[in-house]
Amino acid sequence: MKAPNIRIISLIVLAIIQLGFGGYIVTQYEQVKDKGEEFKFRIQPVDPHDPFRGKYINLRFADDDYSTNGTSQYQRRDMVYAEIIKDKEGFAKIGSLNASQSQGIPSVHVEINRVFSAGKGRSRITVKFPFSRYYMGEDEAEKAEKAVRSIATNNSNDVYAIVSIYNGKTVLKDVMVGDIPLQEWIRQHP
Amino acid sequence: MSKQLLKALPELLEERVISSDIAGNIQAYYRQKAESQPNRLFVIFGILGSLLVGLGIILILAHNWSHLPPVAQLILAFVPPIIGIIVCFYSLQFRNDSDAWKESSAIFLFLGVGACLAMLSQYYHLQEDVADFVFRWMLLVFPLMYIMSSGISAVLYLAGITFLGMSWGLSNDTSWPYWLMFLAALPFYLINQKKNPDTNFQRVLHYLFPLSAFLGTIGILGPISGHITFMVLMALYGCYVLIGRSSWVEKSKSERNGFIIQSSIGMTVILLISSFRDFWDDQYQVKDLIGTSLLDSPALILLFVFGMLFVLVYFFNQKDEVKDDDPIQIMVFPAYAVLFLLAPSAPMIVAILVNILLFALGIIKIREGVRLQHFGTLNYGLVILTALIACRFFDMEMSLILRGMAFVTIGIGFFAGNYVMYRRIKTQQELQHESA
Repeated sequence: MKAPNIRIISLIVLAIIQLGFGGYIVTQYEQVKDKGEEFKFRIQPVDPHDPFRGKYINLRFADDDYSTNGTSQYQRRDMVYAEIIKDKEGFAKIGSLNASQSQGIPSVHVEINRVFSAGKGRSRITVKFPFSRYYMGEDEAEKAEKAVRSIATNNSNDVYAIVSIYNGKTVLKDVMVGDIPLQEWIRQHP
Repeated sequence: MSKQLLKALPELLEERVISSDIAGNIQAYYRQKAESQPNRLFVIFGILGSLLVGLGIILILAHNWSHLPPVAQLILAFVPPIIGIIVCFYSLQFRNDSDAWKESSAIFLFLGVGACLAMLSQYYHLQEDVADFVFRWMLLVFPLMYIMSSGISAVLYLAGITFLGMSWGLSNDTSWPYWLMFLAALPFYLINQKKNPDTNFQRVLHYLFPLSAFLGTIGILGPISGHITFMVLMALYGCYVLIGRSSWVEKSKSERNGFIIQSSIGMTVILLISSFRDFWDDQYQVKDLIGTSLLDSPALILLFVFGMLFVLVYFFNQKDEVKDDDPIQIMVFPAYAVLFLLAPSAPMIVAILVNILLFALGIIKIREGVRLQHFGTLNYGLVILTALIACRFFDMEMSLILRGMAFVTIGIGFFAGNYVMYRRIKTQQELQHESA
């Protein structure tokens, strides 16, 4: 009888770890959603597929670049903190890139994508934001891609992602077309 | 076999070939054997059922249920693992003697955890790529094989971590965690070999473990190491040759095991690649390696580990008095190591020696095939020789007529070898028939 008991105790411990890990993900990201500051990032989406998690649209950000005054000290694939500020229209853009996280300032841990020379000893750096996947229903992702592309060309409405930032962590809350969430917008425009 | 024997018992009794006591003993033996054998079909259907249901759940959740209220989505995410935990608990508590229950429930929880993680990363739009996702998943489910004594969990876990090792390697990320995860599954394999050496899962693991270690090695070495990759892989195959022949694996009834088959194919391919003169010409890092610290080079670390393992298993085999039925195969790795060190000073000689080694291997396999009357081994030897000659066409100036004649000769050799052996087996069978 002893062996099964050890196994059952192990199973209970494993169950606690498995469910606890799931719970940890939930609490961690709920905290970011609740306490984080919201930013609107202008986007242009395309739609790929993930074998386990279904369809998602890949968001390309309009303001994913930053120009330095001097030559860039960073290289491709470096991980840095991007301080996020708001422009005159209320959309997010990169205020500065730093090697370490500044306390109290909304910043996102990003990967340097490319570094260009911008002339006169200056550099232009593009980054990869850690919130470029937006998961959608399998029949919606393709429509979303087409819809957003046509809206972006007509320029009738702003398409943007709402992202919560808290302590360097981020949660992509929604993708909006004007004031309407993308999923609802697709339902309204079949 | 058992059914035929049982059917023949009345006749044997009638003809007084055996006594009634012996007939009774035979019947009792097979009855007991049938009772002690797990109902394999039931286990297989149980596993298949759980596998399909679990995968179905993952697909259904991947559909994305974003139109449901947030709380409902979160609850939905946790339903599969909770059901899995309850069924696992029930299996351990009330069906502990049933492999079908334990395997099925373990597989359900295994996939349920994957479904939960997938749903959560969908809900929060997490950015992790597939490798990050599988890494978390495998970490959360690896104890299942131990807790539930579940062979299918071990098989799926190995598949998962092998995928990780490969994708980390391909994306130039460090793939050392793969080896830690591999070591985490090793005790299950060793324990299972002691407890259930003849189960189907153990046979599958005999193939999967060496395959996974091979792919994991490629994952670490692939993008960075160049020539030394072949040396490290040869060391790995050297270990496989010994492990495959050790009393530890040979205990299981499978005539040929994954270690032997993979090492035979792998060694032949590496030797064929190394049989080109050019391969040894643009040499490589032996000089550079001398100055390299052991810890800086993953290739050197692996070479050291595999080399130690080779020596260790060799001494174990000696202690267990394992019969060296194929000494040349065992010598391939040490010989290759010597050639590898010699190559910078005498590349041409090394290339010729590799050719001789391959030729000898081919001839020995053909001889072994004829001796054991095994068509597979005979043709394997012929394939080695054909490949060797085909490879030489690439770096030798030879007229088309000579090349053509060489191929015709090999073709005739294939036909003649197989035909002679076929005739020989047939004659023996006829002789046996006549004497009977």
